[in-house]
Amino acid sequence: MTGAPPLLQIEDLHTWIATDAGPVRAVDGVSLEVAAGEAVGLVGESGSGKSMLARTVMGLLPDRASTSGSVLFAGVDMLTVSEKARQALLGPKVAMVFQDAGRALNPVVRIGRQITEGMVRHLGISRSEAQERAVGLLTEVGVPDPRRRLSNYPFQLSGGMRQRIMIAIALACEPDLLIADEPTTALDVTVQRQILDLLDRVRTSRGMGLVLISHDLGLVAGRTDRVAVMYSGRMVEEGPTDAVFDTPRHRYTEALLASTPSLDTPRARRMRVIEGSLPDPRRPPPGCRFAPRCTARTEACDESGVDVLRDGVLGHRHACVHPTGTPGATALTKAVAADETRI
Amino acid sequence: MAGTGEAHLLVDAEGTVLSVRHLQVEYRTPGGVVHAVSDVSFDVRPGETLGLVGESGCGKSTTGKAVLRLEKLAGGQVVYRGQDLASAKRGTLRPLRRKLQMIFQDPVSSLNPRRSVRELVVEGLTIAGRPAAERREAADRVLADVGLDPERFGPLRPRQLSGGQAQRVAIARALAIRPDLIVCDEPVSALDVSVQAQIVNLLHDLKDEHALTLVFISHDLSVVRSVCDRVMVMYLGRICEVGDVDSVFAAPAHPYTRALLDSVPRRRAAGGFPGPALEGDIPSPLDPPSGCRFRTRCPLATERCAVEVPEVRAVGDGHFAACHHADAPADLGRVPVSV
Amino acid sequence: MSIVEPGVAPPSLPSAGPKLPAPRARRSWLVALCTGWLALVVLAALLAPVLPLAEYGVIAGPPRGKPELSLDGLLGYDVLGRSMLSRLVSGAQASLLVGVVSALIAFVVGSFLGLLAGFLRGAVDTVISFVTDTLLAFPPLVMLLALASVLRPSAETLIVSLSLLMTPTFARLARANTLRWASREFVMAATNMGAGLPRLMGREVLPNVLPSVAAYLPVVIAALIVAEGSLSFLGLGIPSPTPSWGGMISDGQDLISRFPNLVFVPAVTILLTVLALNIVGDRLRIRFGEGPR
Repeated sequence: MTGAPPLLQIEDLHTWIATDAGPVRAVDGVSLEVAAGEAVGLVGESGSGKSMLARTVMGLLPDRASTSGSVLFAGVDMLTVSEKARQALLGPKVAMVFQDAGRALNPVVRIGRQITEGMVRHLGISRSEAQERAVGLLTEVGVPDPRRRLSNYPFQLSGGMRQRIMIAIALACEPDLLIADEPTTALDVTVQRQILDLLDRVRTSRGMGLVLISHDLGLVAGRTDRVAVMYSGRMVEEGPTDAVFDTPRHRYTEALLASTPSLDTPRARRMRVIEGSLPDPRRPPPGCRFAPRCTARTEACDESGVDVLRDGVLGHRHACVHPTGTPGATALTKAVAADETRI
Repeated sequence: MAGTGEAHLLVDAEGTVLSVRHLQVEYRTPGGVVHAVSDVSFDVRPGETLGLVGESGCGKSTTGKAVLRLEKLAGGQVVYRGQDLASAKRGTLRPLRRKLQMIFQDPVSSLNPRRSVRELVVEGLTIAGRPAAERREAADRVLADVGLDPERFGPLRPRQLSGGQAQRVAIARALAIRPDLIVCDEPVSALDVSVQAQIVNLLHDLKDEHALTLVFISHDLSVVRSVCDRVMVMYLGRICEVGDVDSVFAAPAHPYTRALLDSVPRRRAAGGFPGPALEGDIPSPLDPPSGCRFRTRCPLATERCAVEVPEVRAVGDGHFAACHHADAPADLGRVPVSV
Repeated sequence: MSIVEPGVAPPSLPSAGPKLPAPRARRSWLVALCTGWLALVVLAALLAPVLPLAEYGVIAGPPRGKPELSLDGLLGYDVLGRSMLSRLVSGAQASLLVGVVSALIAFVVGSFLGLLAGFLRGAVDTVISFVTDTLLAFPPLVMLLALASVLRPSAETLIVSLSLLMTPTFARLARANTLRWASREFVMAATNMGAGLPRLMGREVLPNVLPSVAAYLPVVIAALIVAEGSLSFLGLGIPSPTPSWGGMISDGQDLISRFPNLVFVPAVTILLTVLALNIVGDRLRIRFGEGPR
């Protein structure tokens, strides 16, 4: 919030993927900033572009993808920087945790080696010193009996343990920013809880920035400072987490919150629904991408360029032509009214 | 035996659609015998939606499949309206089976990719050798029932459908043979949030229209709370707690149920969660703990838990738990108002 | 993040987006060329009796005659003066017949055995897998030589032994595919709707297994055409005077240094046909051979 440049600054990012049926506009003009030590949630359904956004930042794009715009990390544009310079940033500056730790870990390399590899390369420390640090890291991420675990292979560990190892690897070079892409989706609730607590703990103790990507609204709500909501490659709403969840402005955010069952809201037998399905990412609607499914749609929604983010109170921005509610009112009460129409 | 006890069972079996008694499922693996489901008994009442919840490896899906004899039973009875499916011969089983249908988690995998939607939804009728005219009429009817236009969707193949549409086709296929009970195995877990609600509402409507009884298997407690009338919580192949959704969610009696509920991220709670985290991992089903299977992770565990298997006993009105330390909650009187 | 100051115009309209790489060029011309060659060979084999060529057994020119500008003499004449082109065209009949028929027999028998083994598991699987593994462990040439010495050389003998050679391959392919498809939930759904074993195997699993197994047919046919050539070269192929490509090479081998075209012509034909089959087969495998996702 001060004059200091943000840790990560994404400006008008487009990530398109060429297919035989035309380009898939995975990310289509998205801007996002993450300050040092800040936790930002990135929420969206499948096909919203949230994971592709993270992959663009990490340079993990498929062969046939192209990008435009800029991704400034600590002043370096990750899109144009040389492969070598980018490799030098991945690890010590920014690291990523994936959804499926079972696949992200190398199955034939011992845990210890996978953790120490990056430290030896990036921090220039000896293997034995890295080994000692690895024990400390595993203790930090809550792996019991860490010294013995170092000689284990990934298949010898449970899903929760593997995700802890992934986090330990990501933390090994003390990154300034950790991008966690659906880190708990494959895990059971009690284990998910352990991993989320762990991420919270390391973030606050290390003052690290965190981008938490998830389809689960409830998961992001309790543990981020700000949240950005994506739909079909566009960012539809962005702002302080409480503001976005308490008083959603965009019709999509509002409908998504209302159609997600939660233990926080009164029990309703019929859930509120969002009609229809996600648009074809090759031929998105011309104006607001949510317009075809929106109950408040007017002709104005179909004009090209109407879905730009509009400024709001305290940095709560939205891209809706017909924003819901007034800031300050609780929109959640509306969620209770069950939708009576058939699908 | 463990998580056993019969307090939660109806004495009068007439009032049930399905009575499962001492269900046992085991797998032989090179590492030993996996005790997937151990001595599980429960009733499904006509017209209700019974939720089966628990984490992976708790045996909820296996229980669902075993009830339909899609898994080999190692023991127990599954009585459907007075007839035991567990001991039924192939000939008697076949017509009974059609009354009990199943909807799977992965809608695309549950549809044969070589068939059109129209062929898929009447597969049950084709198998029963019904005439083409009846099949055509049924296809139109059930597709309309699940909100798919027969003209537009009839000729499509499964790969041309979205996840939500494919799940509607799977539901239509089950409906076409007029079942009595449908076991829904994580029917919305693979779907996007915005589509999930559509399917949940659809199931809810169809249940009323067709007088169905549902067994709803899910790991998502929030969905179960909104969909189910009663809920059964399982851990490592045993029952922990059974009861009306309102009382179980408002006042969980079993420490595992409490831990599960405390692990669901909540917006209003400080730190995102309402209670302490559960430590450790689920033990191996090859060698489950003696006594109460939850005792290795239980904050209340005592010596008794290692020796004696807790029986299911009443802890409130229509609320039962299998725990030595579960007392009838003092605040049972104030069951929260549901909307 | 920094608050966007009020009054600042929102970012401009969505920009044009990045330049995308051109769609990957497909080598479809190569596949088209190969398909064309195969069509030509098949057509020649089918039309051999009606083509305006001298009969393959008739002496039409000078022995070992050089190629000349006449229909019969286009590729020269063989040791006895028979038209090479006519023998090549008729040889296509024998070579294709042996290759295609043995491959089809192996495909049908192998798929059936593989389906049984993969779907029924247990004892059936153990027996079928043991037999196919044993057959696969035999060096193929030794097995063919053994069979050829026991049975009298003829087209039928060749077909029987070559299909026996390829059946285990198809059986294993079909078994692996069946295992993958049989665990799909739609099979469970059909079981639960009262489908019996024949329907489950024949209507649910088999239609999904067959395309990915059939995608290997061209490659197998190619291998069998080569095998027929090798056997004929060793004198165990189709007995003369019936021409086959392998037999033509065998006939010309003694004179290869002075009259290379006697060997060169059938050898190049085999080479081109096998290459074409492999390229088309690869494309088919990419398209159908992956099995379930």
